[in-house]
Amino acid sequence: MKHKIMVVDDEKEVRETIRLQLKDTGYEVIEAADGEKAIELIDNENALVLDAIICDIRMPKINGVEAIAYFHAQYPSTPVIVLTGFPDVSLAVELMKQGVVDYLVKPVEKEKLVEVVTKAAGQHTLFSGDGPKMFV
Amino acid sequence: MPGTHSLPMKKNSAPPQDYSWSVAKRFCFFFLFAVALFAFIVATFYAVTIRTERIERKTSELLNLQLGKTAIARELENIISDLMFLARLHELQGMFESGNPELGSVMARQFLVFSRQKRKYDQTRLLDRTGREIIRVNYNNGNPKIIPKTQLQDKSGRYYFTKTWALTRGNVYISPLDLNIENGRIERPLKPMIRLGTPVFDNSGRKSGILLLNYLGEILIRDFRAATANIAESTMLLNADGYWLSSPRPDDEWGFMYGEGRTFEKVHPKAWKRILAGDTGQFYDDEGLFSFTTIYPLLRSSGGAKANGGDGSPITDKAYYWKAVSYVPLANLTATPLDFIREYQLLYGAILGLLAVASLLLAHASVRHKQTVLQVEFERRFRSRLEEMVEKRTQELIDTQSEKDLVVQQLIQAEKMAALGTMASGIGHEINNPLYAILGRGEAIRDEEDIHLCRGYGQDIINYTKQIAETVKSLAGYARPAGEHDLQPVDINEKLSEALSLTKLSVQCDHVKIVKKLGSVAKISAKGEEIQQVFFNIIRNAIQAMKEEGTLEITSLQDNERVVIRIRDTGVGISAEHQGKIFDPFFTTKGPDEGEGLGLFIVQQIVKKYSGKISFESRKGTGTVCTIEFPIGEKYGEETLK
Repeated sequence: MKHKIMVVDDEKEVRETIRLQLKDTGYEVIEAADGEKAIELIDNENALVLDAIICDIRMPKINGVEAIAYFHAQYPSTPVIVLTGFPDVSLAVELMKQGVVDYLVKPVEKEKLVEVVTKAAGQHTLFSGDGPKMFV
Repeated sequence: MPGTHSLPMKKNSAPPQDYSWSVAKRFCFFFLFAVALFAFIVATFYAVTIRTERIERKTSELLNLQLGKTAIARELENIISDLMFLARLHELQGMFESGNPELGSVMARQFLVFSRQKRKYDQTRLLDRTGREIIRVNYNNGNPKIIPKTQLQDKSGRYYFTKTWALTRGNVYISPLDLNIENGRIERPLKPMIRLGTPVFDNSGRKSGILLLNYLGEILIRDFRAATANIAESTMLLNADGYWLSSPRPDDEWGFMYGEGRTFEKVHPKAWKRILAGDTGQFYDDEGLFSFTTIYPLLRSSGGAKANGGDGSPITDKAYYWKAVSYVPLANLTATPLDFIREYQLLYGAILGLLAVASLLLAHASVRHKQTVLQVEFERRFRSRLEEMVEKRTQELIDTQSEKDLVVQQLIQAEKMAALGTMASGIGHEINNPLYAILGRGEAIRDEEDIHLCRGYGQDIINYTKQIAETVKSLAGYARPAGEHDLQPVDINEKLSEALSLTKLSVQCDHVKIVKKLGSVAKISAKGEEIQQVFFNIIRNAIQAMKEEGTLEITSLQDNERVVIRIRDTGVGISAEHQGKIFDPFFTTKGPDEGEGLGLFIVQQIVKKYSGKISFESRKGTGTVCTIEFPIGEKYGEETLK
């Protein structure tokens, strides 16, 4: 089964860049332009298929914080990585507490992103055998 | 201001009594001056007139006296000539030699004819050596008669006989002019008389008798008076003793005949001395003007008895003289100043009247002139004071305005910095996103073998870099304080776009549909940063008013000399209660993180600064339209339209 990563960001160039950086990892990248689209997408997709979600904070309609709250509530096993343009320490702490895997600030280097994503996806894979499927 | 600067406005309108009083004072001054001048002129005129009159009078007096003198001399010449004629006639006829009694009667008839024709000899007589009358013709008031021999008298004792008998041939005796005495009494009416006598000689040259004429002195006096008629009132004829022979006052005449003491000498002693001392003269003394000339009845210029007589004894008796005198008392001499004034009183009255009127007019004009001068001076000072005050006040206002401007300037900057704070996440988004994209492309190029792909990435990097540069540029422009630089031509549409970009950094705009309707508009004269700030604030407010999806419409157009900008949102609108306060500083309906409430206050300050207008039209729930107008920069209008 092909591993999937969902990228949630309102900026097309960001989504493209992530896709570019993760090209060699073999993950399939799916894109959502805002929180609303992301929720729609994750609800329609089989969440278990998603190895990780890379999510921006500042987005139209449903922003990152709200979307992440939804992901955590609905799909707690899916690791969420925050990738934001604006480092906000208090928000980072808050989100980490809520279970965000990592808090990355743009621009992030390919190696770093790959490392974080791989790590997160690995954890998810680790747990996915005995957990999530049963929930759905 | 009250109290500090009391301007004497009341002086503007002088009270009427002051005016009248000033006019009265000036009138007195001018009138007195004019009267003084006029009096001086009149006095000068008077003096000149007096002088002229005196000269004329003097000349006239002396001339007339001379005429009188000439008249007397001519008359005396005539009578002496008559006397000599008769004497010679008698001698030729040989009266004393022949002893012919007929000759006597012929002579008597000749005397009668003489008397009748001459009409000026009261008696014509021939006396013999003994003093007895031989022939006598009485004039008898126009009916001459030969006096019969029986009535002829012996006159040997009479002074005129002895005096004449003593004379040599050719000489004449002239008696004093006196009144005829008849029978021991002065004959009435008065008969002034001069007796002239000359000795007559026989053929052998022996003195044989005398010829005697009683000349009617009245004729002489009448001739004198006629000659001096022009100055009759002042002319008199005096004998050597100072008695009047002729006088304007008849009572004075012939004083010596009555034994009266009244003489000219007694009346005018000083003048008499001077008259005696000179032959002819004229002088003023404290009594008046005296003119005089001396008449010598016996002193003749030429010819006469001497030439005819031929005995070499001229009739030259300077001891016997009369004085023709004219006396003009000072009082009569000239008109007094009062008389002088009275003479021209109508003229003087009229002139004084005119002077009074002229003085009054002059006084009015002068007071008005002075008032005008004062008024002008007052107004000048008033204006100057006013200018000072205006200048001072203006300076105060400028100072205040400068302070205010400074405060506003600081507020504008503070507000900008605060807004920048709200842009932090936006900046992160706008810069880090392309930066991230650049990084990604860079890594891809590094790891990519395919040169074509690498080229694509390179182009992407260039594009993203430009995007970042753009953002940084607009941010830098915004953050920079509007400096001291001069006003520049500002493109409204450019500033609207920049403001929109900044707004996107500051607030989440993705839910808003943005419609731009930017027309072709002229540039305005302003500081670009400030115009950008205005639009940024308005657009940000508009976007913040739209919590849900909405539309932001930005319109720019040119309306005559103005650029009109409309920013319309479909947001929550402004409640009626808030509409009056929106421009108040520190008024805000936003949360604590969204602003300090200075945005619209600053917007208004900037718009006013560039003579613009800003207004809001809003209904709660349907949205708000903000309209801003700026005047076109004078020199940019045409430029842009071209």
